[in-house]
Amino acid sequence: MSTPTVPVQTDAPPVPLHGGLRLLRNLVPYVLALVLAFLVSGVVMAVLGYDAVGAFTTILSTSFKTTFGFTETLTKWVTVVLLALAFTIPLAVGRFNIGGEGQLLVGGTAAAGVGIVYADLPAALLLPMVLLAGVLAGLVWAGIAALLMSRFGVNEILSTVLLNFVSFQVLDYAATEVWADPAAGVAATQTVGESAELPVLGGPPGVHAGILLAVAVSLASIVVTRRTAAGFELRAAGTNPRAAAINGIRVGRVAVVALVVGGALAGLAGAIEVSGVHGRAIEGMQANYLLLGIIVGLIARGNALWVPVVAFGISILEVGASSMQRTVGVPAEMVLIIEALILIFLLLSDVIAGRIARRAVA
Amino acid sequence: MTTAEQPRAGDGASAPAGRVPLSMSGVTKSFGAVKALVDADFELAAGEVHGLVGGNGAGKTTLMNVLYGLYRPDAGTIRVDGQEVHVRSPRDAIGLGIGMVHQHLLQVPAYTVVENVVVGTSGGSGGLRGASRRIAELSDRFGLSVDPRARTDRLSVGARQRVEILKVLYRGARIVVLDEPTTNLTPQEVDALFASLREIVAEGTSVVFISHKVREVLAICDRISVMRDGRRLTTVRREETDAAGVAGLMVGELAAEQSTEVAAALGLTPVGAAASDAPEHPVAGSAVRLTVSGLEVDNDHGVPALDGLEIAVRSGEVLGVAGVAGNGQVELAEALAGVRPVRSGSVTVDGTELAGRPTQRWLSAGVAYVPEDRHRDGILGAASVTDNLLLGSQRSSAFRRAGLIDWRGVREHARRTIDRYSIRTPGPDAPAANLSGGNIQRLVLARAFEREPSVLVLQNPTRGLDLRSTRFVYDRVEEARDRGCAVVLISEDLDELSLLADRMVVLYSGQVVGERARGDFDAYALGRLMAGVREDA
Repeated sequence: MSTPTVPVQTDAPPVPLHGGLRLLRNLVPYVLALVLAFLVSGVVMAVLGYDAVGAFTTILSTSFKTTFGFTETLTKWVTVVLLALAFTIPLAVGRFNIGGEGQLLVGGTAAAGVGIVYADLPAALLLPMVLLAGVLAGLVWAGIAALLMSRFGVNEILSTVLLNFVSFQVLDYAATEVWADPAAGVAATQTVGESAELPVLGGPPGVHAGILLAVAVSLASIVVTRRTAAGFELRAAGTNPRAAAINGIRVGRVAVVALVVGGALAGLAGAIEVSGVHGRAIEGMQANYLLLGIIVGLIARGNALWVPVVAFGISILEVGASSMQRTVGVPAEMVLIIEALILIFLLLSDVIAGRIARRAVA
Repeated sequence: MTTAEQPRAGDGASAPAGRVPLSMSGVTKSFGAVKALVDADFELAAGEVHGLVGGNGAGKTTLMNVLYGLYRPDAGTIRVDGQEVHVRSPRDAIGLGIGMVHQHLLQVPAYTVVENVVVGTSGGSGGLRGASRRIAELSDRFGLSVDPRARTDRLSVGARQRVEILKVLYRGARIVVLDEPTTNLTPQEVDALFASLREIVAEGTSVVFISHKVREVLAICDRISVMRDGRRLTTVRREETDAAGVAGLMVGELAAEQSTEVAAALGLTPVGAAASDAPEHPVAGSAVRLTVSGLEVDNDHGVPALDGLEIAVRSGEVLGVAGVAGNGQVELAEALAGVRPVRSGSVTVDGTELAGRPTQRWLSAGVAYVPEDRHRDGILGAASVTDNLLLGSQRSSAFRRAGLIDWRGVREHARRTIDRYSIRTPGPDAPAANLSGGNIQRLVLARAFEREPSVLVLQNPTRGLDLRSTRFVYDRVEEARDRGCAVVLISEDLDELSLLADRMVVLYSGQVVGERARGDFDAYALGRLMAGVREDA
């Protein structure tokens, strides 16, 4: 209060970069982060006595060498991109949805339930019902956290994480009590009716039709965030909640909607896993999608345009990981380390770029 | 160096009359180019409540922050009990028996009262239980009633302040500095605080009472020092002065001093010249656009900040709201902008009741708001200038095509607006935060004016701006007025108010304590109103 602000005069405004040049400059940290991540993990593998070059070759080529590898990558992409959007949409208003896997599981459970109970309905009716059940369940699940947040000020990170644990029990109940399938060998529900399964495109092996939904959702989220008033309000509320509120945006409501939409997308991912991949809800089907969604969302810096691209890259790594384990003997977890390193180096480059920019100003 | 082992407050009562617990002299402190303290001195006697008054930026708080070790002075000496000391940190200050209660209470919300009191001390003997006993004893002795086991975040602001005073006493302070302690208190709490202060000084401890409220200072203080421009102007005994006298000292009694540079104690500058040459603006006949009646609004701490406020502004009229910061200005501005919830009362614009409606409704009713803190409240810093110009109009049909935002139209509009309001920016896509203060204000004004407002609310719109940008703001306000807008200009700058306002009201403790028509803007009288001296006093 006692230190008055001295107005800074920008008499020499920096020349804005040309579009192409700016894109190039923005890409530098990504390329650098990728190269460094592979370099460091390569060194780690070499030190541990593995064939690093062979491992990388396998990781990067599996997706493109065989049709099977490629379809597997696309299938993986569907879930990863949906989980990433479930994370980035609330992130745009500064809210952290760490409940993607819980929303995925209840979505999957609800979808399986509908697919089992109404197994006899025709596909034209049952398939939309199954998917909708997943969406609604995810929406409700995130809605609980959103309600706690807006009504009682409960931190959404806490509530979404804790709801993940609840969701494990929900699925467990469905898979062991309600629709248990003792013959499955794992804790899983019975299989859904045939007409509850997503049709397969192309192939064999082919990709399930869920990919069309994922593409549609990705496109829609790009259009919504960049071209609609709702998307503008989402960004405004995330950039400066006070200024947004003063200009008539209901920041609290925007946050609730963003969280609920995120939950709905994760729920949809769960339904697609059930009706397109497993044909039933299986305990553990959440895999590490929560983590992958967060990594993708952060690497894409929450940008809806980049989320599908980054998700594809991460899917390549993930699919490559298991065949790397088979052929070179490097544990598949190595890929998680690579992904984490990419993120760390990217964040590091932000810090460094910030310092350089400050020095340039000073 | 004195050690932390201090005689208890009670021992000080028998100290000889000549003992000087604290004297500061030649204290100088600059922040960059701003001289906050210039050769300031200050002397405190044992067992007195010493009022330290002055306007914003007079240096009261800075002087006491130097004493408490929060700022290192550029020059000057501090003597405690006649011994020169160097206070490098609050820890040193506490060791010397100096305690300070800040305007913003720094407490751990989830801690109990006892825990908050002992935090940072070695704990003393007897652990928390012993501490609890001592706190109960202190609070009994000084009438600072508070439950030692209560959780701090469950307490009222008044009780939390008592905790802070207890903390200072618990640590054995013999010099207690209170910075604007009554800001968030109810009148009853103020009375109770004053009673406790009398108890505290009765035992020989000295209290420095920083305030800009003349009435309160007169009610509690034994002596009063007036600061202005980083210096102590004078010190008077309570019985030698009255409200008008202190207000006079704060504002600046001599006409010569009023003439130019002397920014008077209330942060106001002389008025005379500006008021006379501006022509009177006829508004008497026009329709009332903004009516506020019985407005009650709370501040951020849930304490009433506006208490039954009444104003009415006509079309083509500029209503100036004068007053010292912290008397409800922020709350008034935010309430009029539809941002702060209205507890009771009514606000109508062109006959439409808006109290209790969402902010969007106020915007569409034609209310435009230029907030005081433009970086925090005015712009989306990381977003582009274009985005910022669109903000608030993103659902307007003017910028829509086929249900989507028509970015081509928005950019076109942004380019035109940047031209028309001469916003200096590297381009429409540059982040708004990179603009200078004056250009950010142009952006905020441009956005407000493009909505063609019927009511315009501005708070300190030229703070921190250079002359050219200030002129620009004034021109826009006059333009709005000429267009029939009802303008509410909340400002601490009396020059600005007398230049623009057709009528001025003075805000004090959340109420309008006086009103002056154009041609009757007398700095001296306004200063007294701003200091809380009622018309009839």
